[in-house]
Amino acid sequence: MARRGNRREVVAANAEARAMGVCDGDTLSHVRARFPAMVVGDADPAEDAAGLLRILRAAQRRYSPLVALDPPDGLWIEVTGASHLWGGEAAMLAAMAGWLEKRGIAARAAVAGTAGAAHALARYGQAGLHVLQGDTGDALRLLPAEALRLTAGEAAALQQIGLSTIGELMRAPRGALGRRYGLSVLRRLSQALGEIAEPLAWQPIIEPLSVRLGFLEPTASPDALHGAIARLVPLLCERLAFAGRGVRRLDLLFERVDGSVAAVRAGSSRPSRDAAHLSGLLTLLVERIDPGFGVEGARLCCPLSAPLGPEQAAAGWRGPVNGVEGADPARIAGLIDRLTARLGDGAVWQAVPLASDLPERSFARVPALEGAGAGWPQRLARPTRLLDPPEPVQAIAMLPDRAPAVFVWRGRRHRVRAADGPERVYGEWWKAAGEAAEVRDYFIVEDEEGQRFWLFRTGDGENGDTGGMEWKIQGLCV
Amino acid sequence: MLHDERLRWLRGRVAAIEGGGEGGHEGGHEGGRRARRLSLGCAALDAALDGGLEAGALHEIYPADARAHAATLWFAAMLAAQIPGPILWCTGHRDMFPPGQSLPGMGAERIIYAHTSGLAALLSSMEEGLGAVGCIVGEPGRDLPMAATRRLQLGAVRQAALVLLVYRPPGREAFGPTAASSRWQLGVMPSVPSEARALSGSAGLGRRRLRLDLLRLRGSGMVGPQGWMVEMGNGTAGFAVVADLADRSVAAIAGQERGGERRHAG
Repeated sequence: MARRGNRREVVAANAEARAMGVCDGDTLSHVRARFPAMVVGDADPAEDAAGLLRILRAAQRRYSPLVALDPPDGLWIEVTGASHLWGGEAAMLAAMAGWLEKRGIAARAAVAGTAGAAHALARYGQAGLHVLQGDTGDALRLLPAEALRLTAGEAAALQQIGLSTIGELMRAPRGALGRRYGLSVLRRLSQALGEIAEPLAWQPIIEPLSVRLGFLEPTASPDALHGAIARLVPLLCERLAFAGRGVRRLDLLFERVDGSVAAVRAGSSRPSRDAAHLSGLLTLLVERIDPGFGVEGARLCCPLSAPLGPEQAAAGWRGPVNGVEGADPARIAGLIDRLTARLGDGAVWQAVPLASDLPERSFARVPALEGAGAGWPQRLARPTRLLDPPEPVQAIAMLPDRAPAVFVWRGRRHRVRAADGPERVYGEWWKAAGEAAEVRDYFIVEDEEGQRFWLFRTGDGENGDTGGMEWKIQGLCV
Repeated sequence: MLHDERLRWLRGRVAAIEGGGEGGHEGGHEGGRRARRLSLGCAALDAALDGGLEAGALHEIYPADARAHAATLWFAAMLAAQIPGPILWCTGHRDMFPPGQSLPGMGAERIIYAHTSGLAALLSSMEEGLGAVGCIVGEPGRDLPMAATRRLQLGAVRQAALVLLVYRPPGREAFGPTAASSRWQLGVMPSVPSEARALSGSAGLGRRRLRLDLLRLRGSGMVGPQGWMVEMGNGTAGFAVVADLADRSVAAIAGQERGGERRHAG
């Protein structure tokens, strides 16, 4: 509730209240008359702004070093150079939405090529998360003109001459539009379409573990960027050694001459302050930096660190990795970090066995180095290649328990010469309700040419409720 | 004369660069590791390879056709299992089944998988692995150019690491020259069904039979490919040679392949 003149009006309502028909601008007496039990409170813009700033600080640590306020209720987060740690832009956006939801904050979000377009899509696009891939203009065409961050007066004036959507605004002659409604309308339109750059006021980074290097004159040469890494990393490592900490996340920011900032973020699978390792990670990423017309400063900071004792940091420490002797853990961790920086999060993995008889659930992919010395069952007849999902085959077999005599897979007919089986696997009713009675009988069969397949039949061959007696192929055996 | 002299000098240089591993054979501090050889688990095969397959080198494994898709992976795992420490497995596909890659002496926990998209990412990831792990396996979708295999071979020799290229079917288009130390081709052969294990009406599976062709072995002076029909051991990772198919020329193999393909297509 906020006081506007003599009236007390609704300025914000949660989803439940909106579903009941409460709109912004309703008066307090009106709401009270309809819903006596409605909980109302006074709006506190100062506390809202402080809360937004708190979210911003958390987002800066968690998602990207480049975060800017979009008052009164928005944030801009630069995902370029940071989304690879989350497995792409869509995955990163989903992670952000989940993170806010867990904290009880209802949020709308969008990823787009320009700040203006992201602002418009997040507020005026359809419900849900948006990651804009194609043409910005196409995506904005149907949104209302006020999505362009116009003042109420400008939007109303445009409305009067019938320009209510961004698409209509794009088709209107620009010269006349500018003369009549001021250049700010044109500027907002061009900014949203990416025709002119929009420098955002990135929040300064308040980070004790941070070092900065100023260049004597602006430079855009790759050598200078690499040189900055070589100068900054040892400085940061000294600070880390003093604090007894190691890097888990590392941000490298370059200040361009036009006031914009380019940033990359690197991750380390275990705390590290090994200068060679950290330089290597940043060197891989620095090629993604676009220096524009030149950069005049570089800053390296560590938004996420973990305690690291001197004995762990010492080079040459040898011990088992995943219970395997003969490996140098620092080298393996370095390799995994470099590969993750190159290929993205989730691309470097290890398998751990799970206690499940169903093959597709018998292992899990976990980030490398987390696959602790798990014992794998040995000497089980298992295929080396898995077909996921299993592919249906047409098979002729005698019920209830014989291996197929002939089957057709991908249009080719295989006559079975020899077979092992059946190996019976039961559904896991405690995981999925529909599996209570499910049964699969697995066979390894060899065809006339010597190729071996892993086939199964759903159902036990006697009772219909255990499965539909379909044959499927799930793997290729040695 | 001067020309010949120069040429000889250049050849010497090239040999010195390529044979970086050979230099360390005698008495180098890592000499023991360099001279390391991988056993194929069968005395007859190891003898044919002069004591086994060189560990610090690049080796190529081809499937003879789509039927050997699973066998190539097993063969690579058998060689990789003999190298201690983690194994880096670079591939653009997600069809590996780790429980099936666990072999005697090697659990799947030793494998670090790197999911790469595209040839450039595959090659750069494999090169990253050199120097950090003792064994790197890559699964390229098609034949690699000479330059790429040469880089891998030099890196393998320098770091004394085993590098394996496991080709996916169809696997052989042209068989262009590469810098690999050896080139293997695996095909499947019908096994002798086991009547003792006939549990489900039909005969039980006998010991796995594979056709193992050594198409190329660098520095061996080998003329033409050598082939063996091998049988996988029971409970061990090795082979037993069933028949020596040594004296077949490349043309004979190629002809047989083509005939085979026609038959399957019909």
